[in-house]
Amino acid sequence: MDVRAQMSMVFHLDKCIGCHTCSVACKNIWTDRAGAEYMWWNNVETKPGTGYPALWEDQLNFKGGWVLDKNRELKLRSQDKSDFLPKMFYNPNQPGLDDYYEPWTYQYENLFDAPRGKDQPTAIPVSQITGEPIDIEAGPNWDDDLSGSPVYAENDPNFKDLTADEKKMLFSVERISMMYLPRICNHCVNPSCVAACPSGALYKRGEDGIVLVNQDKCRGWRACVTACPYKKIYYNWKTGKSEKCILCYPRVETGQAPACFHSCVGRIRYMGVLLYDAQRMVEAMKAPKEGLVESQRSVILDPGDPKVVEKALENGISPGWIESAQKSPVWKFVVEWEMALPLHPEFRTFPMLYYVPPLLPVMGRSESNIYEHDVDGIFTSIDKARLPMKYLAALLSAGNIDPVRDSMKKLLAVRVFQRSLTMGDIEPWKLAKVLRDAGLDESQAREIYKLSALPGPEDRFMIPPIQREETVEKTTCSPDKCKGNCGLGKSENPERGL
Amino acid sequence: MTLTMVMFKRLSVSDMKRLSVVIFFCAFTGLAPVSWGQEAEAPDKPAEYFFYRCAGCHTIGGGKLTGPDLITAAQWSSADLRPAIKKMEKNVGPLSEPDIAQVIEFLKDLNVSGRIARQKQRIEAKLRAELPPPSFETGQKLFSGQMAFFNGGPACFSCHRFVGGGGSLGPDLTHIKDRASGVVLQSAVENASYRIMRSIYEKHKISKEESLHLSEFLTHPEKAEIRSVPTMRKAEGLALGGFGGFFVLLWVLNQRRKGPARKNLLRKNLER
Repeated sequence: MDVRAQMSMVFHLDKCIGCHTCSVACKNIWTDRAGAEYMWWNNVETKPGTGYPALWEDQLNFKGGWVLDKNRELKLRSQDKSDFLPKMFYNPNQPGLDDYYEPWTYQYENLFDAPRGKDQPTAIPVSQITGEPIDIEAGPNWDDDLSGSPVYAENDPNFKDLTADEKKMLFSVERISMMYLPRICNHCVNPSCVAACPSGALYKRGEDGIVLVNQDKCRGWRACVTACPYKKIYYNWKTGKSEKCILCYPRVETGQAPACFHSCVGRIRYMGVLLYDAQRMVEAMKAPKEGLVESQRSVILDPGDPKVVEKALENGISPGWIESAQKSPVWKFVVEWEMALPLHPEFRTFPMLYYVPPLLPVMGRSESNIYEHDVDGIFTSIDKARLPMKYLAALLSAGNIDPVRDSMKKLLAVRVFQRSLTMGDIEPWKLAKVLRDAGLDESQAREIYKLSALPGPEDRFMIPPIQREETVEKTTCSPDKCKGNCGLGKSENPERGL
Repeated sequence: MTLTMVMFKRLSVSDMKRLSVVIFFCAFTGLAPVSWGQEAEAPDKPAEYFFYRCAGCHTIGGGKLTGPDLITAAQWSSADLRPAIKKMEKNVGPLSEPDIAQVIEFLKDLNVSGRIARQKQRIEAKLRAELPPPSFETGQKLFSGQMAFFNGGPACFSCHRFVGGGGSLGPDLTHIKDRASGVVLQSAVENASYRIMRSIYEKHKISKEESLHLSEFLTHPEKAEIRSVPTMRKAEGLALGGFGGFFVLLWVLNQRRKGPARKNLLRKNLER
């Protein structure tokens, strides 16, 4: 057993309202620079939709993530030993400006400086690359709230398992529905970007598993951009280096939640430590597609198990971290309640960001214009959902409907349980049956409700003491020697790009 | 035929100063043409000595080589000549008193041109007897690098141009036969005592035999067929072709490139 700790996340999609506050918070802190205009380390996508960059989920197009080869060994889809060298110079699967969008701004000064004329002056859009006026053809949320659905939503790659009839039903007027999918870097346990980097610039930080790009080492080959199946690494055209979400590590190290977590209006984001067994990780990622959710869960270790704690201490994980892992809301959602699911586990990167599937579009389905809330038919309503279970399964469990349905059942059961408390109109035997079917008891239902609907920041963000100064002391130099340093290593003025 | 040799223009002034006999003689003296078929006569010891020790750098009435033309030496007094010749020891090795006397006698002889011509004939006859007959083909091969020099010197045409082809670093040798031929040309090739050639061929001596072939070749420009090396124009063409080929390759590779995902979606929708 090789115990490692990882800062992991849960996004509760049932609560996401698609306001993009997280994206703006991230943008203002990190990517509001020349060369980074098109980067959205955090973005919120409307599903069904093609996302950002367009069709990022279509790995036949972008060739990200891992695949199993003939010998059932993990292999990068983007490159192998034979072709990585030519692909450093010529990589046909890299996303281009067409897949993102040409960043633009508006000529605001024209509003003040325009010469006197017949018409009101306007602020016309100009490209942030060329400075010329442009026709805006695409943006980071071009398919937001199902806009342009015949072009975007209907071509969502997750529909590939749906029949034509099912698709037609889905997009018929008054049945159409949508959900939001906020995305940041998953800080994967088995990151394909790290494996693909020819310069060794990408690394997964030992103490908290945050995946980072060393800007001193990056040579801008962009192999990571192709290899990341979530397309969460962006190439900065000004610095000539690649950049990605850093999980706001300067904030995390000082006990604050990352900016997108902190600013989330719907309070959908949870953060906490998960302990996992690095030894069994590779085997787990070789599981058949349908079993990936299960095998991924099996690698995550119970922080309450004394054996795990002992091994964790042996590996240098501090008692503070272990205590934090024991209280982690992520552990509860992912393993204890089995409600949160990884996004596209079939990319085999072991993403450490989990999503609780959304219940609302499921529940919203109406039969003869009456919303179905009958307890008897409650679980059948999941299968007749507006947003088909198959679709959510393609998104969150590699096409296996069971984990999604189990999670949905729990969400519904908690809802029924709360109704019984507030309305008192549900017979106890019916409530007991619903809870049993969902695999919950009353205390669990209460706890799920509490952590879903009423959590304060201290419940949502279980951030351990990172004790950076101790790590610095151990690895680089002691503070008395490195007086004047920030404690994050040597400080260098950036040469260009900022 | 004159004894004038092709000289590199860069022969420095200091070279000339080092030699004390500095008198220029402007008129070229014609010498009787030398044919290969004449009988050898009794040996002319001083002429032989002159050819052996001095002719590498000096002519008498043949114009300036590395050293000056010695035609005017006849007008010098013996008292002046003696120290001047003695000074040449640093170039040719020890000169004994009888040697110097012999050279003075030779230089002051009014019939010196005739003696030189006869000596040349004798040497050529001797060479002809000792060595295989000079071959034009072999000369051509040596010149153009198709056959390597025995001692590994570079082929002539890497620097010199002859008729249609060759390099442009050294002088064009097409008309060399008008300025030197026979034993003069041969010895010029063999000794290679020119400022640039000397440094190149010092450690890679051209053999007597090779120099014979070469001088035979160089005296018959009308027969020569030198394959021209790629000229600048051709090199440019190659570079351009390669450059063009690179773009063709890029284009071919680009056919494999994935299309712009979003624009393809738009097009698909318009076609619907």
